[in-house]
Amino acid sequence: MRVIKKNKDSKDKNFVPVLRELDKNIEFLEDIFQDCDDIVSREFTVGVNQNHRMYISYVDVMTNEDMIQQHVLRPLLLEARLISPDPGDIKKKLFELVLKGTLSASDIEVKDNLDEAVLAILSGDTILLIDGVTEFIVISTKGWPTRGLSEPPGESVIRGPRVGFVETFRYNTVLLRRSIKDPRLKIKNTQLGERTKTNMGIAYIDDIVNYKVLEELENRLETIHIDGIFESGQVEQLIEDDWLSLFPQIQNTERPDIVSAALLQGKVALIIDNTPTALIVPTTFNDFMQFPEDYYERWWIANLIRWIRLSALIISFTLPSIYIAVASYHPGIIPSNLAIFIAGTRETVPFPVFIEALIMEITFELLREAGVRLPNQLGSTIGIVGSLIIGQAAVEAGLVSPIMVIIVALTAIASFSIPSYNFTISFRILRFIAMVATGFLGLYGLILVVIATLVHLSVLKSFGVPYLAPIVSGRMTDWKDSIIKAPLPSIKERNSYTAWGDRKKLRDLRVDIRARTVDIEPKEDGTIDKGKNQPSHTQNLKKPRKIGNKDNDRGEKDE
Amino acid sequence: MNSNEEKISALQLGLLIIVTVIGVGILTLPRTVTEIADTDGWLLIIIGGALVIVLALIINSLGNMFPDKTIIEYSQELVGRPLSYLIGSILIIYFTLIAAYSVRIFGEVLKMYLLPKTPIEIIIITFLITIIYLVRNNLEGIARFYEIIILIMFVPYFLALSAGTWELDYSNLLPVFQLSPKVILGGVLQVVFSFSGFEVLYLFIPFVSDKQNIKKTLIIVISIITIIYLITSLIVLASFGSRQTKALLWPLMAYIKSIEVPGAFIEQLEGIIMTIWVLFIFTTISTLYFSSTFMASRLIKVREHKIFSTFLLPLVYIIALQPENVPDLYWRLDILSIYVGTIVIVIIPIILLILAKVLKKGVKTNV
Repeated sequence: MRVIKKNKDSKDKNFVPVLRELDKNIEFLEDIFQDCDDIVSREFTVGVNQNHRMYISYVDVMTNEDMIQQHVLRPLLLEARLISPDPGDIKKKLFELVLKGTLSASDIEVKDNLDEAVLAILSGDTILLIDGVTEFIVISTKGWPTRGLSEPPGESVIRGPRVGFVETFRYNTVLLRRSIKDPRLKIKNTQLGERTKTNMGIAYIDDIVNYKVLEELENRLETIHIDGIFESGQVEQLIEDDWLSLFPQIQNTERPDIVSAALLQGKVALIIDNTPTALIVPTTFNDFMQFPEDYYERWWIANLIRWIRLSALIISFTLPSIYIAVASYHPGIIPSNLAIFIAGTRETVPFPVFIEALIMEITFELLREAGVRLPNQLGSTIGIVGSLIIGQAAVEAGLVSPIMVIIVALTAIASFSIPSYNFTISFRILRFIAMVATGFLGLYGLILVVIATLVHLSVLKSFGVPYLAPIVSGRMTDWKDSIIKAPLPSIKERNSYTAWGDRKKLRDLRVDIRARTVDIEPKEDGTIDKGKNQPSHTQNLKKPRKIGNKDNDRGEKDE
Repeated sequence: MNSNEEKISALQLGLLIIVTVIGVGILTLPRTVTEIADTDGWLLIIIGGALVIVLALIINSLGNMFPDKTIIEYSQELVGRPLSYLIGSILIIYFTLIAAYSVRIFGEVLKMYLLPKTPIEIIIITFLITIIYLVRNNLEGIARFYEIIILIMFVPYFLALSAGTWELDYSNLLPVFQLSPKVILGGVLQVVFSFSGFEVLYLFIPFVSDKQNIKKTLIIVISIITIIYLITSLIVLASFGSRQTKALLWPLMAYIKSIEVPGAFIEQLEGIIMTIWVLFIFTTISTLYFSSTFMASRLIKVREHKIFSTFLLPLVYIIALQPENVPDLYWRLDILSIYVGTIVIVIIPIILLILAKVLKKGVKTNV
C-alpha cells in the first residue's frame, strides 16, 4: 500500500515518494489526472533489449512538442539503442546515464516528490519516470501559443520603445532582463492562488532596493490565500495599504521601460503570469502624473507637459464645481458681462445649475461607459448620438445651457489627458462629491472637499512611503523630478524616498561640454588638425566630440 | 514618551507654527496695532515679534531640557503632580476655547463675505467635521498636510495683497516714531497675542527628530510671520489711513474687498481670497484642536487621541455658538487672551524655566 502523508497545512509536507515500481507511480498520476483528457502520457521501453520501461507525461499543446520529439523521445528511443553502454553499468546507473548522457534537453531537474510532478505537468513541463528509480526528471518543455509582442494600446508613446508585456510570464522577465543586464537585477519566483498556482516574479535591484519595502511586499504576499489570481489587479487590491481609499496606491503598467526605470529607482516590481500588467511598489502621486516620454523628451517639453497634466487634473476635479459655485452662489466673482451672459443662456433651462451640471456629467459618464465596450465601428455612432442628440438638441430645446456643454466637454478632455486610467477615475468620483458639496455650500463646499482630499492624500502611504513624496517630507533634491522636471544632466541621484544603497544615478562626465568649443575651421596654414583616431571623412572636424575622453583633453593642451 | 510615535522634522515643525499662528489674528491685526500706536503700529509688530521669538526659545529650551517629554510630563517634575494637572487643564481649556472662538469668527466672516444666506450653524458644523477628519490622524500626517497646504495658501495671498498696491496712498503711513515707551509696554502684549498659536510648541518639541535645528527654525519662522504681519498691516494702513483702519471690524477683508484688478478676468477677489482664507483658519484651528485632544489623551494617559477628537466636537460647537454677536465674541476672546493667554504664553514658560534652572532638573544639552 502506498502511504501518502498528506498535510493540508503546508505544501512541503505533502510528500509523495516515487516508488520503485513504475506501475504504481503511473497509477498515482493517472488517478489524479482522471478525466483530464488534455494530458498526454506515454509508456515506452528503451535499450538494446527493450528492457527499461519509461513513462512520460505532459499537457497537450502547452508544451513544445518538437522539443519533446527531438530532445526527449528521439535520444531515448533511437540513440540509446545505437550506443550500448557497458551492460554492467546499465542496471546501476541507468538514471544517471539518462540524465547526463542521453537527454539532450538543456533545462532538466531531478525531483523525488511525485506531488510536484503534478504541478510540473500542469505548468507545461514534461516528466520522465523510469522503472526502478525513486526519482524522476522534470524537463522544461514549456511552449504554448502566445501573443506576439506589441505596443500596449493604453500606453502608447510618440517617442519610446514600442513593446509591451504579454501574457507569458517568462517573456516579461526576458523583456526586463534585456533592458537591465545586471546580475544584481533579481527576479524571485513565487506562486499565488491555491488553485491557479499563478507564477509571480518579484523583481528588484539588489543594491538599490529599499529592503523594508521588499520585505513588506513579501510579507503581504504571504498573507494572501485566495483561490485564483487572473490579473495583477487582484493582487493589487489584496496588498494595498488602504483599501478604503479612493486612490490607487500601486502603479500598474504594461510597459517594460516603465518597470525598468522604476527598478532603477529602487522600487520593486511584481510580474504576474497570464497578464501583461505588472505592478510597481511603492507608488506615489507623482508616479501617476508621469509618463516615460517625460524622460525621453527634452526637459522643457517635459515641464510643459507635466504642468498641462497638473492643470488637467485640477480642471477635471473642480471645473464643474467652480461653474456651479460661480453661476449659482457667487456671480460677483466674474465680470458682470459674463455673469449676465451666463444668466441669459440659462434663461430657458428649467433646472438649477447644480442639477443641470449633475445631469450633464452623468450623461457624459454614460456615453463614455457605452463607448468603452462597443466595437470600433459602433464607437462613432456613440459620438454622433452624444454630440447631436445630447449636445445640440438639448441646447436647442433649451434644456441645457451651451456653457454647461462646454464645461462638460472641457472636463472630459482634461480627464483624458492624464496618463493613468485608474488614477483618473479617483478624480472622476471626487468630481461628483465636489459638485454635491458645491451645490450645497458654494465655493466653501468645494474648498472643504479639496481640503479633505489633501488631508487624505497627506496621510496616505504606499508601502511606508508618503503618497505625496517628494513634495512632502522629502529632500529638496527629490523635487528635481516631481511637478517640475529638471534637466536630465542635473538629476544625479536616485529618489531618496525609494532608493537605498547606491544612490548615484548619473556620473558627472559631461561637466564642461559647453566650455569645450568644437572648432571646425581649418588652421591658418591650411593644415587640418586631425585629432586622434579621426576617420578621414570628417577631416574638417578639428576635435572629436568625445564626451569625457581624457585622451582628447590631453590633445587640447598640446596645441 | 511613546517611542512608536512617528517623528516630524524641524522644518515641518516650523511650517506647522507658521500655518498655526497665521489665522484669525491677521484679520484684526491692522486695527489692533493702529488703535494702540496709530501709524507706528509697524514698530509694535516688530517688537512683538522679537518678544515672541524670546518666548518661543524659552519653551524650546524647556523642551530641550526634557527631550522626551511634553509639558504635561515635565511640569510634573518641576511643580508636582497637582499643579501639573492644573497647568494641563488650563492649556486644554485655553486651546479649546481659542479653537471654538476662532471657529465662530471664521463662521461670521464667511457668512458675511461668501455665504450670506447659509445659517452659521451649517458653516461651523461642516468645518468642524472636516477638521476632525484631519486631527484624527497622527502628528506626522498632519505635518505632511501642512507642508502641502502651505504651498496653496501663501501664493494667492501675496498675489492678492500685491494686486492692490498700485493704488495705495503711502502718505498714510506717516508720521513715524511718535511712539512713547509707555504705549509700547502697554500694547506689546496684545500684539503678542496675535501670534498666539506658537505655544503648541509645549507639546510638539519631543516629536522632532532633529532637535538641534529647532532653535534656528523657530527664529526664522517667527521672523517670517512678523514680516507677513508687517506687510499686511502696512498695506492695509496705506490703503485706508489710520482713522478708517481703526473703524473697520476686519480691515484686511475690507482691503481685499476694495481691490479691483484692472483687466483681469476675476472681478472681485474677495470670493477667491475667502476661499483661500478658509485654509488659513483650517490649519490654525486644526492645530489647536489637535493640541487640545492630544493633551487630554496624555493627561489621562490614554494613547489614542482619536476618541477625544470626536467627543470634543459637540463641546467646541456649543462654545462657538455661545457668544451672541461679533462684539461679544471679541470681548470674550480679549478676556481669554489677557487673563489665560498671559498665563499660558508668558508666565508658565518663564516660571517653569526658572524652576528648572533652580532645581537643576532635566538633561543638559548643548543645543
